[in-house]
Amino acid sequence: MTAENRNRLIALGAILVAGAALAWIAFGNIGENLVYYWKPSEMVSQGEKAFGATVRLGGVVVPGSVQWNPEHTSLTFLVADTHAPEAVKVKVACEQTPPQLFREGIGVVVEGSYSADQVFRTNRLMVNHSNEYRAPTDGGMPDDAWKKSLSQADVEKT
Amino acid sequence: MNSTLGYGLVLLGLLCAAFAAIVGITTGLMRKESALPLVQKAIYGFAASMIGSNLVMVFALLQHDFSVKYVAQVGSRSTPTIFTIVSLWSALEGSILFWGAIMGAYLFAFAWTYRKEHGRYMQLSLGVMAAVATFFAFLIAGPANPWTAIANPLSDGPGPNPLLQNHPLMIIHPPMLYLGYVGMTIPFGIAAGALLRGELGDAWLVPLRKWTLVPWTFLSVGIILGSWWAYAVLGWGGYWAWDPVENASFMPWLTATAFMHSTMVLEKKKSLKLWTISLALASFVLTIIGTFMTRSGVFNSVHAFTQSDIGPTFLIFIGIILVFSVLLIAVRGHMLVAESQLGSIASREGAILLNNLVFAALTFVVLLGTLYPLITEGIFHKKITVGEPYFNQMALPLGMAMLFLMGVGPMLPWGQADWKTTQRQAVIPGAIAAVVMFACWLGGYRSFMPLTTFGIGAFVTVVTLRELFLPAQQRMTEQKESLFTAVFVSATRANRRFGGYVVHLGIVAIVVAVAASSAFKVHTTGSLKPGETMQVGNYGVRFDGLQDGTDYSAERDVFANGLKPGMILTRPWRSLATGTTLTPEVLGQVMSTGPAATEEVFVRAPFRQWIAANLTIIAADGSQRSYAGLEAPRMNFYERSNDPVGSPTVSERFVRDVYISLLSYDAKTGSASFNMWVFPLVGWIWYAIPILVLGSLIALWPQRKKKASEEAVVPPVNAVPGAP
Repeated sequence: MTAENRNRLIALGAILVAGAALAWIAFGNIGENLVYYWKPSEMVSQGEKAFGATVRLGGVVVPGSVQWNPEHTSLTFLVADTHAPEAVKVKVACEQTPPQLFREGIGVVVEGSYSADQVFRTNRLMVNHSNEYRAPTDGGMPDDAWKKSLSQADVEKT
Repeated sequence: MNSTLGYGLVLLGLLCAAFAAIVGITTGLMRKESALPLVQKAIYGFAASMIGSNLVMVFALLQHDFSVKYVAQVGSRSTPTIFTIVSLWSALEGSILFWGAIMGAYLFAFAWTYRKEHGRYMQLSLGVMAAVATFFAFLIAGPANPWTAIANPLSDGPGPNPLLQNHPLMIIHPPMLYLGYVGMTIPFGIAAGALLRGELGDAWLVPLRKWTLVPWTFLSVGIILGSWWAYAVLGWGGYWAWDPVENASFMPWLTATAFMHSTMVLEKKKSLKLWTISLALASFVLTIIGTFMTRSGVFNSVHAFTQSDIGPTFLIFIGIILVFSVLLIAVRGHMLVAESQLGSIASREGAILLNNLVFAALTFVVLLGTLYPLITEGIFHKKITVGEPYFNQMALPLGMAMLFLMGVGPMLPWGQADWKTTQRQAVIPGAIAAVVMFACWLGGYRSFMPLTTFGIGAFVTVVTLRELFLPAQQRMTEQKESLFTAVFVSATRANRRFGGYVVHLGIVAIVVAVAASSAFKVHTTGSLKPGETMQVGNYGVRFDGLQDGTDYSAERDVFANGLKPGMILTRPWRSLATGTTLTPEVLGQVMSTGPAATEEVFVRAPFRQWIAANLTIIAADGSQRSYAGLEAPRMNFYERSNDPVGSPTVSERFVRDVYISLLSYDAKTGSASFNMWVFPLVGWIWYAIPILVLGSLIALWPQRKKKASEEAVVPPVNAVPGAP
């Protein structure tokens, strides 16, 4: 084996080892930083495995459950899969001013984690946007839809 | 009418591209060079028809021709003219049509530049590029056709996505990014053409490098503008979230950057051939994967348009180019054997090799994190995403390594570094780095990572400035030239190196800004009543009360049935039939029934309403800046959007930004709640754009023909022993 070839082998070996190490670290790191998209029922059915994991919990705000204390910026509410009364509910605690659109019954996504005391703590509260505007299909009536939305916006303003 | 014309042009473009691809590749493989003019003409035809089709679309948008599907989808009479033009790329179909125009422009520029002087690979290269163009023309003609005619058009449309008409940055960010993405087709075509031809001399390297630098520059600017837009518009107090779409633009940037460094080793040392070519091919493949991610709706993000049918077509295309690229390398790989051995790792080429490995590692990390959710969802049907911490934890050390190599590389000579010389050269930059770190430490900035970043950043800056101006300094002493002449001559004589180092300075600015703004940001949130003040960092923010308003589009003529509540009259009504101005009584009638085709009604229509939280930012020295109305943080209500769209206020200062977004307001009590941040140095990220562009322009500046003899005159910087 010539010196050149040996050097080449050493370099190749070093790169392979470095690549393997990188892959090892990257996969390990990914495993620790996964964010799960769960509905309340899915999260609760995970049992203890759900505690501590980063979760993006999506559902609807249960009407009548919102408690907002502006003095301490503390907000709690229940999130359920659906509006059905028997749906699984999870208590969410948030130390943040709710965004403008936040209200009872609206769809939300909260990012945080669930702990053994059955409370989901979050510092990131997002209201489900319905911004997607679809093109009017033939014979469709888009005007009514947007007029309705405009009047909704007016209601919120006052 | 517009539909037919526009669609006809698309079909013509498709025909031209397919023709150029088939003729270019087959005759190229048969080595019949006589067919080249035919291919060139077909390319020009493709360019003309694609650009033509886009012009027709702009015309249709401006005309509010709602019989065209795309116009019906994004057009609206109440949108201001500039955003009407911009809506060309505000939804899926239009953006792919626009893509076609840019593709046409690039192919034309490339074919035209090398119409007389070119290597024998040209025909095959043009053929491969035309094949890519064929795919996009096919997308426009089929799955993403914007030209479908609507039989019973409505009188008005919804207007573009409100997020996209909220800020002027949206006007230039997407075209820049597209210019970056689409441009990577050119180096791919050059490399594939040369590989297919099997003539891998040096002739194709210069165009390959130049035509990578062009899209690289656009891509860099596009990425930065995109982060600036996210920062200035979205209001969540950040500029980079490792969103799949951001990653999609970042990965080809990484491989293209690596390519431009390894190409230097290829030219100087005739080694790393296979690696360099692979990087050029990978950059293209990654732009196509990026396009797929952005445009197919596989990811839910700000950028993802409605689910579309182009996904499967794209996947097939990605498969084809992957197989094609791998086959090319497999079949021609034996021609890409290094002609010389790489020497010591302590050399310029050693540093570049290491830099390439780090870039490759970061690309792998980002690719893994981006595709991981798709894989788990595809295989395990679990919906997950990879959190930002993964990306930050992985990118931080790799970024530091890059920064470090950016300082060490330029210090080392080609071949073998002399340890003593290197040590001596490192003294001054090292000392300045230590002083900077100590000063930051004294200033209270004491976290380990940012402090190290600032230190290495200072080191790189000093080394780079020395490399930039040392040749000029030598000219001044030896040739007695003035400072300006010496800098100018040394810059033009070695423009690639000079330009490259200027770009390095811009990158240092960005890295330092990212480190400072993420490590030392201050965040507070809270509710204020009018007159109350809140503290964020060293700034007081006083809430001055709510204000609302309406924004109107430009004046226009309303046709029959076009009158809507809320419009304001800008001129008296006029009857075209009689030429008389109508009386107020008739106005009332027109108002209730709408104007007839023979009446002129000029109005301005509302396109959004807003509520702003006026405020005053008070600096520690007592100086005040007030923001009211459109300048204040606000919520916008667009006519056709259900949700308000927030706009933050960014009070820009050279060393730090005060960033305030309105979270919510209570119209009854007049109070409002805010999210406030102070970001140190964040503006340097965008201030670096002109530096990057300047560096790229210097590097791209055409050399005079006799450059080979001239380059030999300029002594390589590192050959000078005992640099100061």
